[in-house]
Amino acid sequence: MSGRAAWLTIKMHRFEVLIAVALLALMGVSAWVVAAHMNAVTVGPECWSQWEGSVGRLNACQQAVERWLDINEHESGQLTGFMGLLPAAVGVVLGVPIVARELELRTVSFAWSLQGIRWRWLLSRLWPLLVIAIVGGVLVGFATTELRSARLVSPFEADSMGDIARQGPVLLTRVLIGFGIGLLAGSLVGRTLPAFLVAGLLVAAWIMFAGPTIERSAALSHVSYATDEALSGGGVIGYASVRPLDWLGEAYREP
Amino acid sequence: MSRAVWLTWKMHRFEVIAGVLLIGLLAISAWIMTGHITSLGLSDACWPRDADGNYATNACDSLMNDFYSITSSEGGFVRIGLALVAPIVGLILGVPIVARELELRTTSFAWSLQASRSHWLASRALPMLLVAMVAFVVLGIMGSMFFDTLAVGRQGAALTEVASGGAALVARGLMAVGVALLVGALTGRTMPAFIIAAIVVVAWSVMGVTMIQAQLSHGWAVWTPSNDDSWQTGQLGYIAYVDHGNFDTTKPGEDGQPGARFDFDTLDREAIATCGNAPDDDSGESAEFRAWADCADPIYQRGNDAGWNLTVPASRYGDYVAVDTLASLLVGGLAILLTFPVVARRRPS
Repeated sequence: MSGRAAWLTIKMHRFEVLIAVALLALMGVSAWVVAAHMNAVTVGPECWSQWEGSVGRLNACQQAVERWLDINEHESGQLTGFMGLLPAAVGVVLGVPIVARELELRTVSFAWSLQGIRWRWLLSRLWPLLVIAIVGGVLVGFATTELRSARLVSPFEADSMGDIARQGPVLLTRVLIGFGIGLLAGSLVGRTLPAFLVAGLLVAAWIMFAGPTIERSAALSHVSYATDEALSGGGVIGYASVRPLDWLGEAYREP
Repeated sequence: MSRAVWLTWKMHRFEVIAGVLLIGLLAISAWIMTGHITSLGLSDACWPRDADGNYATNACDSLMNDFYSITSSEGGFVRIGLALVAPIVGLILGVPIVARELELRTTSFAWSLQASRSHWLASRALPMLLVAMVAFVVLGIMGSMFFDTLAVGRQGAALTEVASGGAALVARGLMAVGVALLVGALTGRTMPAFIIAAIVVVAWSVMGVTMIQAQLSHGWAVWTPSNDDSWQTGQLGYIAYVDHGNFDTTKPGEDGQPGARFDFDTLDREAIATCGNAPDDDSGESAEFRAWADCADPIYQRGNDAGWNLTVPASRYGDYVAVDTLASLLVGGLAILLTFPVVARRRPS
């Protein structure tokens, strides 16, 4: 696990490293800039209760709310949308080529013959890219936490289950899930492009189906009936109709 | 040629199987959805809707509910698939043709066996292009059938879906093959080539096509009164919206406009002269404000009734499809042609 091994790994995978670092920087800087935009709009507490919709003439107080909501809908909304998929995609880009490329180029037999144990070779190839993924994921996680704090200034905004994996430490786990699945797919398939496609499919399936199912199962242990006031006044992170005939549904409440 | 096809299959069987599988799954899904919608038995007799939004009969209401239920769930997934899968499969099939052999460093040997590199490239690319063409044609036919069926419920394809069926789908897919082939030849590595080519294809499909369509819309748009009844008849009057304006048709307008732009300051002055200044009441609920509004509303209504939309008639949809097809073929064809000099000049590793 020397610096020489790290240098060799980064040299071999410099395209993937460049793409991953560029995407992570783009996500982190964007989240930070959008949070700064939102924080720069000063909205007094009394303004939120005065705002009734973007119709008619607005006074200065309501214009501030309008401006804040505009940033929240367009800049923050679009960024949050990208955060659903991009962190995991960065993980896949970093994870896939680690083993797959050397298998594909058939340089492993030589590389393995130089190392006493294969898992040591794997570790030496793995850790530089893993460090990039973790450091990048942590930084983007911090930036998105700032964005979350800026959003929660508004009484109209509340944490929702759909956004759990798009911010903070859970975002880092998305990077690591993509990295792990990419690494495994690359090792099994032994070719970069097919492994990239397979890993992409698996990660997409995780994000769209498995992740939400697990979050929902975890939330079910905290479920309780909530009044309409509780639903509209915060303190609720998810809402679902558990029984088909229960049109009002049941609310998930923070423990 | 058969030897080249066999060799290409052996080398790129994963990509061919993945591509054909994706196209096959989507084509079958589109075919099943077409069957579902056709079996509803919707007819033109269900139109027009009345002022409350009800269809011609109660049976029609129920049928349209079923129709919307299909189009908003599984039908919606098929629409997304038709917009995305052909370019994705194009990328999967196009990227490895040159990039894989460059990455594995087998090109120096392969090129030494062929009289010219162009001949080598043609022998590698043509079988993949053939596979892609057949797959895209099948998907294009299924896509067209699907969208034809949606027309039964008076739902049409949007401008963002011009390449979701027929010749435009085939052209968009081939464009992706061409771009992927060129990027693969330039980068010489499959995964980076896939990522770069995907960015180029997405940029073209989202930004390039949108810019072309915006230019076309400005050229093809005509002013029409905004109080149309398309929501009742179900016959969409326009395919693209460009601008809105209020015009006084009794006065001559600028080129192409139906009249002079309405001067709302004149209406303000007339309202003030007739009804006085508006009372200072933001809520608009005081008796004083209501009395003023009853007096001023008919004056402002004259301006609001004079609303016109600058839109492109729905009958122009085929023209957008034709332009999209030609533009995609041009980009894809150019990319394929550029690959030949790139392969001829580059180092084999």
